[in-house]
Amino acid sequence: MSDKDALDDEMRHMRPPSGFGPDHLALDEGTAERLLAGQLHPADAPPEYRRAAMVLAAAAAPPTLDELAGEYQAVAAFTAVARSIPHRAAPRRQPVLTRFVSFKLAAAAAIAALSVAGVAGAATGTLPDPAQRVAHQMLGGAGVPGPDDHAAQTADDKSSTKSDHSPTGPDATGHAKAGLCRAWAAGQGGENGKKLDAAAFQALAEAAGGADGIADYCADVTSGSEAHGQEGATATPSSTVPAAREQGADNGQGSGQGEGSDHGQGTGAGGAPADTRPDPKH
Amino acid sequence: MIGADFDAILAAAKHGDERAFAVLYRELQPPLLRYLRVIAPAVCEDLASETWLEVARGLDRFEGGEAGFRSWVFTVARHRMVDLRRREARQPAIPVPPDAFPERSDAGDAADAALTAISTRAALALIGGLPPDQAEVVALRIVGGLDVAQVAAIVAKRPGTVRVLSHRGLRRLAELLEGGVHASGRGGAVTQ
Repeated sequence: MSDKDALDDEMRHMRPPSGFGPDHLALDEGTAERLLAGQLHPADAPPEYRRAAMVLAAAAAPPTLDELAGEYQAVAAFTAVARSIPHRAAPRRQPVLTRFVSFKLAAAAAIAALSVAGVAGAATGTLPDPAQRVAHQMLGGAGVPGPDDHAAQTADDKSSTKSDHSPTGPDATGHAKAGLCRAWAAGQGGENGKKLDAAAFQALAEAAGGADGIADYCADVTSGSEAHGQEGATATPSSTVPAAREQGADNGQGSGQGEGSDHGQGTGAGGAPADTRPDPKH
Repeated sequence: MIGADFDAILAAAKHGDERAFAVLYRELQPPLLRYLRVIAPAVCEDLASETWLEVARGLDRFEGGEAGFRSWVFTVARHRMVDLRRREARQPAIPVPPDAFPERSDAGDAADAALTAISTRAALALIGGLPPDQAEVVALRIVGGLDVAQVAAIVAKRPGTVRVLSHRGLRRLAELLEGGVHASGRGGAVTQ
């Protein structure tokens, strides 16, 4: 009897001081669903779930700029893919998009006030790094390069007309392959991770069937080359003309997608394996 | 939500308009990255990049509205994750350290006040500390903004199962947070 009282007393101490029944965390279906749908403010949640509701609210907080840091690379990859598909090659501007870029114009005005180089400088990638980064973040969708992408952009501009600032690396399956491979090899073990972010190396990774496949893809170029560092430093893609004619041939032997590399292709729902893409020759 | 303009934006992206693609990216990358941070924190950014590449490749074959597009992007991401897991055969689970929640040691209302400042990262780490199947459905619902039917389709489970898993996850989360506070409460009683 007294043992039981002691046990009850102990259990009362262990139980949260909420005074609820045996299952104080019981939650009705409706409340649970509202919590999971983000429709219940933490202040309105049952007391036992207030902290959990706060965690859920924090997890669903508005996006931050650092979460969009990969936008340039994602858009560059998109452009590379779009160019490899003939009917997507000519971008068609939709009037409805103007409202989405209008805030960018406001941002551009602010940047122009900060720099005599103004937006023109931003668009060609000549602003100082911090300003370029802001311009890139604000205008990223309009094709303004990030501060880390000067090299790729200027290399691109050298040999192509400057009418198009769309962020894309050179065609890594064509003439640029050798230069890209040497530059990539020169950076291995050093700033490799950062270099892989550049559009040029994105193109290389794309051609190699993934970043993991670059070493294999470049094996025939980089093997036997002693002066990696020097060549890498001066390597400039010799041509940025999309080698559409060569692509068909190169895909056959050069890229070897999904063959030796462990980069599985096309298993996702949206998987579009390279071999199902329209032949660039047509 | 992009809303009424979604169809036009999707059509433009299908025709190679990179600004339209950027609109889609800005809308979905944050929730996508957060979902991946819950289910595969060590590789979430790589998986997000791979996902967008797949989306770019498959874009012109996608048919549907904004909700369908959202579901598709998360489905692609999940398949990338499953592929990775398969490749890595056995990846050791990453346990969430108990101090991932900085305000645990506080007690009572003070903790509630401090909790309002909990970072998104810490919140995602806490959700990621739940049993994996619970963590995934909670993340898809909370950060993905997806309903039960959408989540069920993405994780290839029945809606009833998704509901049960997410409710268990919610409960587990509440237990976790409660436990931390009560532990310190008892400690406080001893020192008095």
